[in-house]
Formats: sequence, structure tokens, C-alpha cells
Amino acid sequence: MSETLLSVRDLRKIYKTRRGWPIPRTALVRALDGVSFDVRPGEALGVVGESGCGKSTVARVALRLQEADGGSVTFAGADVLGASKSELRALRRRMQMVFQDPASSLDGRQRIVDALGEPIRVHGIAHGAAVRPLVARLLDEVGLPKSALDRYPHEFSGGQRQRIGIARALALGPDLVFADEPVSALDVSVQAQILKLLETLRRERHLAFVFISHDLGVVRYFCQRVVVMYLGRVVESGPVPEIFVDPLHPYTRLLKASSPEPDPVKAVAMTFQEGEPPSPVDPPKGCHFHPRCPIADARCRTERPELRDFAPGRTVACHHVG
Amino acid sequence: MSTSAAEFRPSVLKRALRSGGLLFGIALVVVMIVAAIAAPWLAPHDPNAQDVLLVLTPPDAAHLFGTDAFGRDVLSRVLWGARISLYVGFVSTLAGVIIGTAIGVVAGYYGGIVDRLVVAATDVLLSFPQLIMGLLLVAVLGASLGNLIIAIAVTAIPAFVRLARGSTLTMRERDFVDACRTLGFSDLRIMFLHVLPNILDEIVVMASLWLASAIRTEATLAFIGLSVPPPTATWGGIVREGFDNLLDAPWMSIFPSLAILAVMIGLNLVGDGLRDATDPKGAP
Amino acid sequence: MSTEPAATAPLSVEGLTTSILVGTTWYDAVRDISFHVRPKETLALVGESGCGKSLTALSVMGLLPPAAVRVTSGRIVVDGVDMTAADEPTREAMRGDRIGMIFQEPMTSLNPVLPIGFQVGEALMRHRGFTRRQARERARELLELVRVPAAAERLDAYPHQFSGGMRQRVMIALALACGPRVLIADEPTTALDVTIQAQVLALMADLQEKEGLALLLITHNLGVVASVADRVMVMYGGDVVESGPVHAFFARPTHPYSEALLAAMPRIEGDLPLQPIPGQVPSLTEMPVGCRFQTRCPIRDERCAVLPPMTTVAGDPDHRVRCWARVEA
Repeated sequence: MSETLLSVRDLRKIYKTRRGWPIPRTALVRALDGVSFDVRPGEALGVVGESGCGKSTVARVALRLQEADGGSVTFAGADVLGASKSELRALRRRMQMVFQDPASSLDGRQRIVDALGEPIRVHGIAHGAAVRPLVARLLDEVGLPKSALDRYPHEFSGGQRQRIGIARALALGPDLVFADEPVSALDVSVQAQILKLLETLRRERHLAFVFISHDLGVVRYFCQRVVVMYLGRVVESGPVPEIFVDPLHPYTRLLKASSPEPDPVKAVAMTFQEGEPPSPVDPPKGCHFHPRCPIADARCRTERPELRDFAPGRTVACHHVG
Repeated sequence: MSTSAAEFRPSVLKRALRSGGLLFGIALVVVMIVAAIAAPWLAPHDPNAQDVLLVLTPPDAAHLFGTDAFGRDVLSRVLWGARISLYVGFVSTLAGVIIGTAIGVVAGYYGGIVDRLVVAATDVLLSFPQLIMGLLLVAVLGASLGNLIIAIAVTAIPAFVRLARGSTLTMRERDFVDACRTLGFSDLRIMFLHVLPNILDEIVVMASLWLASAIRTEATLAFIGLSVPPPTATWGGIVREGFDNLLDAPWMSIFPSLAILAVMIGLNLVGDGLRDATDPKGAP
Repeated sequence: MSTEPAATAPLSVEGLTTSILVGTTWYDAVRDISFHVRPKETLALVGESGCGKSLTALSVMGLLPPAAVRVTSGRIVVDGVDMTAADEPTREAMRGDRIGMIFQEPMTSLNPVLPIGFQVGEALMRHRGFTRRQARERARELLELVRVPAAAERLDAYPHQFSGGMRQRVMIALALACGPRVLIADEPTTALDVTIQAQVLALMADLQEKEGLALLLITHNLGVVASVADRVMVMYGGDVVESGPVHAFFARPTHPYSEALLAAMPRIEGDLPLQPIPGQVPSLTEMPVGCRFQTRCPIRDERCAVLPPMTTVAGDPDHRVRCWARVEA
């Protein structure tokens, strides 16, 4: 096994919410409840799960957009969570992010050349007239013409804007990009263009990705390994082909069975029991998934299953597997 | 279905120019400003020259606005008074906008305890009526041009803190602030090079409305004798001086009042026009 | 599937053209589309943003913003009533009574300050003259019908106390309150997680069977189409480019756009390489003359400057395609 670029260990993030009237009660939301995974150089790791599972929080905490409440994040040997302001600035050149909604992640008042040139200037990579050609090269790399330089974000379509967002993430020459649902706001035909682009960048730049998505099909196409999250915990992880062929955790199986395929012969299985996904505000005891799980027993209701190695490279957190 | 209709929205400038009210407002304000700047050349008489022979002359060819109880030319006093009134209005509003916006952006950006303190402080300040606040400050500081500006600026600050904070909170919801942080930009850069330009529209609209209010406050303070000491002419002061003879010589109060009214109307038209022009939903 | 002829189907649309005003010019955003939906049948309208699928639904509902969008020609008949010829009070009486609609965002389609029970029963008070008490009783039955747990206790709950999936169930209950014959669902599961999507789709299919509904399902997701639809219509740039029974369509997608769309979809099974469609949908003002897909089409030729007619595929009268290269001899 090759070396590790990013190592996340036992990451915790707790939000406090106050709800109730007239006397508000403080409730704790365990958005991340001991999450661990590794990313290797040049590898795309998928993080999948449904809303509220904490998959976006992973990226935000690992990038220090929010402070963690426990655990550690190590990037290329450096402690990210304990980094000082100047250390963090240096780390951020190597760790970047692509957002879901490119319309919201670009400053509408900046021309493209300024939006992409700003990080280059701020980090002292180039100055003055040297910036423009660098930006033009970035645009070319993401498949946009030079004429885009002097235009504003609103003049582009959603797919083009996402290309700009990707180019901006590349501006500092990162080794790792967190991509938070980068294609889910796009139409299918454009989504495929962006996925192809990301795949090319991954190979040519030897770029590693933490690819956050709710769409199993997209993850299967783009990622080599995948981490499945449910209510703040990792329930299963492993290589993409194996997990997609033979999911171990009942939740992973449910996800797979629920994802509609464009084939009327394989109609979506609707055999799982009904019921709402529990809220992360007040997660069930024991295994978080047990209220929806077809094979849950008494142990699942009281004892939290630990993430265990099942096979080389595969881990699963279920009392009934392995 | 997303139509591309939004892309065909005429630019803010184009829409602004199509709005008759806005153009009229701008014209009105510009005329007043030009008149104030050119007062030394436009004024037919020395605004402070007294002439016992001309006391309380009604408007005529030599004194278009008539004369006051000291025989001073009211037109000249209104023109010179515009300088003080508009100057106080502009400088105090500008100071209020700059300080208030800066505090508001910082509070909105950082949130937390800083934000809560700032909100509490503005709540206290906003609970005083603007005029009472100004009155209090001038009474404590003493009536002078500088103190007047300070007093009116202070009344403007909390309103702009509120506005800037609210708009900044909205901007923070957008991903580009996080994108900037991820790119390693400093907080100062993000606040003033990224957040501020995006909320400037609203600030400018409110500033034009506040300018009107600042000029009114100055006039009111002058009216009750808490502005620049006599004999310096200010609009509120002239109205006050004419008040004693309102029934015999109404022109002394009417003309400066009309000047105040014109600026109020002009600035409000500008404010409303700008708001309509910058609000994407206001497209005709 | 019923064999009821098209003319008496609960929903039939004939030659619908809907135009949008851009600047001072009207552009056709939906061009001459015709379809009908029979009882217990699901017709899926599928396509990407800007293809006119939502505009079609709004045209049927008579909910177009009056100044900027209008139905320029065509006939929309809902349950025997010609909606295009009807006046606004008639159309209003139809909406929520004979024809129901559910939207993508269940949060914004519900009024946040009114209790769920009242909102579900409101249409019954409006259209059926129910008293408050009767409406409340029926609302409870409806919530049970859409399988909201503990329905009776949740009549007085507010929308924010429901999860996304539960809110969409409430929306369905609301749309079904007066027992409409036609239900239009515009991306009803797009905002939901996949496991919840599966539940809501199953529920809709079940209700459709029970109530004999004609369902017009608008979606961008071919997976959803394959799972629940009986027939499918693919739209591009305001035109129907292909239509047919679901099995025939997926077995033999024939229009170049249908093929491309399927090839662009990442799948969780099988080994199909991902093929993006180059370029993007032209804006309404820059649509090419003739076939609107020609700017991105791999097999375009000079014939494409004229809009092709709909022709049959493999001799199947139900499976039709609009492409010169696919015209069968």
C-alpha cells in the first residue's frame, strides 16, 4: 500500500441547537461522531450518504472552515487542526475545495481573470502582467476559451461556471481537492462533461479527491474507494468495485437498491420498511441504522457496532457482518 | 424550467436612467449642490451685511427673497446657508456610513460575541429617537460645526451597522466567502474586497435616504438654536429667525423651508430610484 | 392499461405551443406538443433544464405568469373541460379539484404558518363546501392514505415539524384531497434522498392504482422514469424528440439525444462508459432553425435545417421519434 496524503482520525463535530418554545432546550447534533479515513495521493475517495449524514461537514472541518471538536486531520505529515494561521495558509495551497453551487461560490462582481488571479497574487505565485497568462492556462485546462477572461460569472452557464470553480481550485496547484457535490446541480449531459474533466485532472495532475456525493452512480464512475456515512458515522468503506458489487452493510444495500437505474427491468426495490430517517439531533441508541434495518436485533438497539476490518481494504460497522 | 429571461435584464444603469423620478431627484440635488458651491458668486449680497433701511422688505427685484429683520438679503443667506446645511449633511452621513458599515461588516463576518455586543449596543442607540440623540450630543459637546457633524454622524452609525451586518450575514451564507477562506485570503481582504462590494448597493440606497434625514436633523437643531452660532447662515437658522415675524414677513421662513423641502424630495427620489434600479425583482 | 381513446382521456393536450417574451419578441419554449394520459397511466416528461417540461405542466395547470409567458396555440382538455377556452374562474375551479399538482420543493409549497390538517382540508372547503369539521376528518383519512404515521395527532402540526419526505407525502395528500382524475408531479422526488425517493415513488404508484389517477410525471431522472413510468416523452429545446412505451424506449432509444442522454448517465451497475454530450442547450433566443438538437448532434446533416416529423420506430405505432436520420423507409 502506498503512502497516505490525508489521514482523518476519529473526527468529531458537535453542533448545539436550541429549539422549543417558550423554554428552548439545547440539543446536541453529532454531525461527525468519530469519523476516520485515509486518502492516498492521486486517489479519488468517495464519501456517500444522505442529507444529514455529515458528509459535507467532513470537508468543512478538514479544511478548517469550521473547527473540529475532537480527532485529528493529518495532511502530508502536517497537523491540520493544530496548524497556526501561517501554517494553515501554506497548507491551503495544497488543499482546495470545489463547491456544489458555482453561482454561489463565485463573487459575482469579479471578472474571471480577477477571481482566478487573486489567489495567485495573494500567495505571491505571480504578479502584475504575469498573472493573466497563468489564468488563461488554467481556463484552457478546464476547457474554457481565453475570451472567458474578461467576462463575469453570470455570463456563463451552470456547467461553465463549475469549470471556473474547478479552475480556481487548481490555481494554487493543490495535491488534494475536496469536491462537495460538484455535479449535483448540473444537468446529466453537463454532469458527464464535468466528471470527465475531473477524471482527466486527477490523472494528469496526480490530484487526490475527497468526492462528496449522494449519487452512487457518479461515485462509481469517478472514485476508486468509497466511505459510506450514516448519521455522523462511517458504516462501511472499501474499494468501489467491491462495494458496488457486494455491499455488506444493510444501509449500503438499501442505498444501492433505492438508486434508480435507467432500465425498466431493474425497477427500484421498494421492499425496505418505511419510516423516516432519524434526525441527527436525537439519533437512535446502538447502531444508528437499527430502526430501518431488516436484520436488526436486540444487540443492535443497545450496542454501537465498531468499524472493523472485514477483508483487506474493506471495513464495515455491523454486528451481523463478518 | 429555467428561462434565460434574467440574462436579458437591462443593466442597473440603464434601468436607473429610464426612471424619471431618479433623474429628477438627481437634477434637484445637483442644482442645490452647485448653488451651494457657487454661493460666493451667485449671492447678490453679503449674507451678513445689515441695513436698517431695508428691514423686512418683501421680495422685489433687488431682493428676490426679501430681507430679514436686520435688513440682510434672504436669498444670499439661503445660498450661503446651503453650504453649511449640505456640508454638515454630507460629511456627517459619510462618516456615519463609513464607521457604521465597517462595524457592521466586521460584526456580521465574525459573528459570535463581537456580533452580540455590537447588536446590543446598536439596539440601545436605536431606541433613542434620532433628534433626541442629536440634541443630547450637541448639548453635551457644545454647539459648533465639528460637534454638529459628530452628533449627526453618531445618530447615523447604528442604522448602518444594522444594515451592513444583516447584508453581511446574507453574504456569508453564500459559498464564495468559504471559497475565499479556502484560498487562504485574509479576513480583512474577504470582508472589504469581497463582502463589501456585494452589499454596497444597499448601503448607497440607504445613504441617500439618510443624507436627507441628516440635513433635516441639522435644520431642526438649527431651528432650536443648537447649530452653528449666529450670524452664520444655515437653513434651519434662517427659518428660526423668520419665525418671530412669520405673519408680517413670511418670506423669511418660506424660502429656506422650500430649499429644505427641495433637497428632501430630491434625495428621497434618488434613494427610491436607486433602490428600484438595484433590486432585480423591481424590473419593469 | 386502459384502452380508452385519447379524446376521452382525463388529460389530453393537442398541439400545445407556449411562448416566452424576451425583450420584445415572443419565443416558442414549447413547440406543438401533443399527448394524452389515461387513467392509471403514468406518462413521464423527461429532459434537461430548459427543455420545456415544467412549462408544459404549468400550461396545463393554467399557472403561467401572465405578462411574460402565454399559450399561443393548442388545446388542453382536462376531464372533458377545455382549459384553453375556459375563463379564469373555471380554471380555478378545476385546479385542486379535478387536477392536482405537486412540486419539487415541499417546503415552499406549504404555508409555514398554517397547520397541516387545515391545509390538506382547505381544498375540500373551497371546492366541496365541506365544513371545518368534515374537512378535518377527511384530512386525517388522507394523511393515513399517504401513510403519515400517527396522522390524527399530526393534523395540528406545522410543516417545519415534518421531514422532507413526510412533507412531500402531505403535498400528495393535499393534491388528492378532492379526488382529482389527473395528477401532475413536477420533479416530486428530486429534493429527496434516494431511500426516501423510493418510498415516495412507491406510494405514488400505489395511490395511482387505487384512485385510478392519470399521472403526468415531470423529471430529469431517467432512472425514475424507468422505475415508475408506463410511457415516456423526451423533450429537448421545447420539442418532443421521442415518445413511446417505457420498455420499448429503453430497449431501443432512437433519437440521438435520447441515446446521448442515456450514455451520459453514470450507472451503479453494468459497464457502460460515460459519454458526455458536447456543448450546451442553446438559449431560447439562439435556437437553430429546424431540429433544435442539431448544434450538439453527432449525426447532423443538411436535412436538419427543417424540423423532422415524428415517425414510427421499428414499425411500432406507439414508439415515435423526430429525426431525419431515423426515418424508416
